[in-house]
Amino acid sequence: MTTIQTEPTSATKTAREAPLQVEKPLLRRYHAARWDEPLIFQLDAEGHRGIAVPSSDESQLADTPENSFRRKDVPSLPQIGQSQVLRHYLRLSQETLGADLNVDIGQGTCTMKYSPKVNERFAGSGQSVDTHPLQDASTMQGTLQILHELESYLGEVSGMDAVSLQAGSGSAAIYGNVKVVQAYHEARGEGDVRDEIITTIFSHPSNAATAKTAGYKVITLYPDENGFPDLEALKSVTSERTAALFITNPEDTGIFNPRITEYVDAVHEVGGLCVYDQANANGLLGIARAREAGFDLCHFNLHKTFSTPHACGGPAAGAIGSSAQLAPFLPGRRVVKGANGYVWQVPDELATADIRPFHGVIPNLIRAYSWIRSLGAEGLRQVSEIAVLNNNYLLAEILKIDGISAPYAAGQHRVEQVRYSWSELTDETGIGSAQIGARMADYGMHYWTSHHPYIVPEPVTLEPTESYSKRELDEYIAALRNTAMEARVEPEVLQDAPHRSSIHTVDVDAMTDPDTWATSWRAYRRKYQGAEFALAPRWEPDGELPVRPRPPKAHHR
Amino acid sequence: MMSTLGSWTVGLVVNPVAGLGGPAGLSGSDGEGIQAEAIRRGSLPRSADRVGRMLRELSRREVPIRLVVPAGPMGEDAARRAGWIPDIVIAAPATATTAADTTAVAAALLESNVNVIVFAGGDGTARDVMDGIGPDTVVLGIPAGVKMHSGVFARSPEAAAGILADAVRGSGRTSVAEVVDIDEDARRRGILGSRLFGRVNVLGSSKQMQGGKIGSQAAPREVLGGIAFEVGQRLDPKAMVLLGPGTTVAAVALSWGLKSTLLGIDVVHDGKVISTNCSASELRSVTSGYPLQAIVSPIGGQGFLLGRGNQQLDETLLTRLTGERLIVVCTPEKLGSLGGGPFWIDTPDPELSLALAGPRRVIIGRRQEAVIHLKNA
Repeated sequence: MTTIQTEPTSATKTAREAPLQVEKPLLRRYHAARWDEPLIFQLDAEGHRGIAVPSSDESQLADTPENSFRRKDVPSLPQIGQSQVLRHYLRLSQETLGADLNVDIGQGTCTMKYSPKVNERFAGSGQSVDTHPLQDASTMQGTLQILHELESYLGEVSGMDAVSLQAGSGSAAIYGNVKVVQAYHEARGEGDVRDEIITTIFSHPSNAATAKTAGYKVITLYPDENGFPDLEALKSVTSERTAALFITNPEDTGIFNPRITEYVDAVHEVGGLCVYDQANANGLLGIARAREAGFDLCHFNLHKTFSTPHACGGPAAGAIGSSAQLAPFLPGRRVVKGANGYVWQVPDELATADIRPFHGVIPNLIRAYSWIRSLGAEGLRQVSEIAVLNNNYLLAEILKIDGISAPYAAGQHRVEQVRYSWSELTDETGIGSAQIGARMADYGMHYWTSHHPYIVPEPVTLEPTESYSKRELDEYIAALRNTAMEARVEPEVLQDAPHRSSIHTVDVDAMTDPDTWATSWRAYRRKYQGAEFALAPRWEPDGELPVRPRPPKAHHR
Repeated sequence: MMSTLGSWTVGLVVNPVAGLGGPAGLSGSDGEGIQAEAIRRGSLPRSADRVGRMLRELSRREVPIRLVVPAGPMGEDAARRAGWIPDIVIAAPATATTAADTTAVAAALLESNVNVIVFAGGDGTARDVMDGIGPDTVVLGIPAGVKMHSGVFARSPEAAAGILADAVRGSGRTSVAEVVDIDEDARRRGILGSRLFGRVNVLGSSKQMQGGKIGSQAAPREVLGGIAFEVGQRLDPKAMVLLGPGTTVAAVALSWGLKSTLLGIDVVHDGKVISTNCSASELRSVTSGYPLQAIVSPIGGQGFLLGRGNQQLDETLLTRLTGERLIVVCTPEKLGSLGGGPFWIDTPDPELSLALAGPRRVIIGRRQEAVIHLKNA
């Protein structure tokens, strides 16, 4: 009987695997700041203020335009001094594991690369932040030139004929693509028949979400034994009902599908469109282009591949690329160069509705433009080459850790990220990926498992991008290896982790049940302190408009 | 447990009455009364056949093992029928066997210094074997029961032979698996759940096992409601609709206002449950002359769609359920835990298995489908 014993990582083994002679160990003795900081409303103190505004004779304001905007009641903001505000937010910032603080390679699929600080100067300049949406084009020629050139750069990177920069995020761009697909089939009189959109389970989940939002039926392909979406399954469901295929390549496993054109051909054969979701494009710049694989549409998350900051619910930026055939359907106004400079082009009458009012998120478009210009064509390709190199170094080192594996495509290189599995370690120790993630916070490292539902058991998805040094990658690997060792020798440490983070784990129900949420001080007082406020009226549509049934409001704001 | 390469000793335990309750719609085969009822309803024992399939596969692969068997129906008969001459025969009851016999035989096999105890049965058999063995004993189940929620079973008899072949070659692994059985108290309250009875060492990695049944978690209302809506769209108003076992199908029925049997197969016609917990022959007679549809869901954690827990859907019925007449439903979370498929089918007729196999649309929510391969176990 051979029982394969997976031995606890022994001291000698650790020594052999970490030959790097450095002054400081790779494993840091980290501890997060823990401030137990009150809400800013709880710091309210009668009479405190930030600025003492000189008093003035109110009658002098009576005839000014500003007077009509003056509020009649006092805003219910906390009374607090400037330095108290500064300390409050500085403490809160110390309690986060931000991209500028940790080796942020643990958020695979998010492409947490460095957002160069110098680009903030361009994005924050007056010509950027003070632009008014209704401003005459003649007064913003510089901005329009940037947008126009950015369109052409992204067209070059994707091989597409036309680019729209209107979307305020990657998912908004995907939604725009769904609406372009819809407009295209409607224009051909097939809008009612083509009601199915096909995607894959390892593709960007926004594909399924936006397709469903737009009213499509979503058909999801699951991986075959090699990790690729099942081609036979695709061919079994394509029909005259197929509106489009929305697919990511490489998918979230980091495996590039070399037969992608066969998928595209199968969908084109039945009259469907093919949309390349380029949320995972960081390994492709200057190497592979959507149009050359036969795609009709694509999108980029500019906050991933093109370095504009991730916005966490605030505005990001998305770009849509299309073939010449679909260009008339693109949303929003695009910039064209005329005899008298740059002008906004009025959208084609076939165009789908605007994704958001006015233009795209101009400060972010400027950041992306600056990033591309600072690198140049060669630099963009180098970004991808280094991102792929970093990822494969990480893959090779991580596979040396007992208990972790990289499901599918054994022995092959990956593109820019890998979804690993701890299932062997879990079988052996009972410690799951979520507990390992909680423990990684004790070493000051961000860690993310996978989208739901989990297909790879006990998953963790790592994407090192081009931005991290070898030492930083080694630090992350050392923390992972140490955590796996702890799972074997002192699993109770992981069961209760984190120990050195700013807070302990968050109650899942509190995160998923809107009835418990209070995302504002007012909602908190209403839900938890019994305060009563008049509820804001719900918008009532005009008589003619159809009313959609909605669940009662949870009132968490 | 140590042995030199190439001289493996395998102890065999056959529960001769395992699986009897399946085609009879009895959702289990425990107890002499149930067994008699199953035979009255026309069921035939199949555990011996399954052992035969494993032994024939071992012969085909020329895996060198020494076989220790209990005399008579608990091992020896099955081995001889498959053309094996057992190396050692130990004493065992010659007629109808009980749970206590299984436990006693398992304990007796240990005295022959077996490397592994291979048993054919279901969850009840696994529990009985577990009661007779020591903490270091390694076991391997051949799936032959009605429903197998424990994680100790190979996916099929042939798969069990493959695991043994690996082990004899020296590249085998062991893992720890849970022995569970239906929680009867919960089931009476309408909750389909398993109760843990213990953990055993199993030959093979957890990937090679058919997977312990993962207890049904309450899926969000909108997911089940969406699945029910979509199924409703596909129903043929003239058809007799069979509701397969399991929480997902029961929830679909409940959202139509129907109360169905959790572990049995019910017949719905014209919006009403007209027959509950039917055997194969009852299903045949009730649905005779009508178009047939069935709603089935894979077993969570195992991925078996046909041939585990729903053996009432016999060859005759399944022949009437090819193509879109078989409606497959699954919650996204369950599908994810199954790695996105395949879904396994195990029917007595290989040709029928072939007709049912291949990619198939599975309803996973409102306006949501997945394409999953159906494969023969």
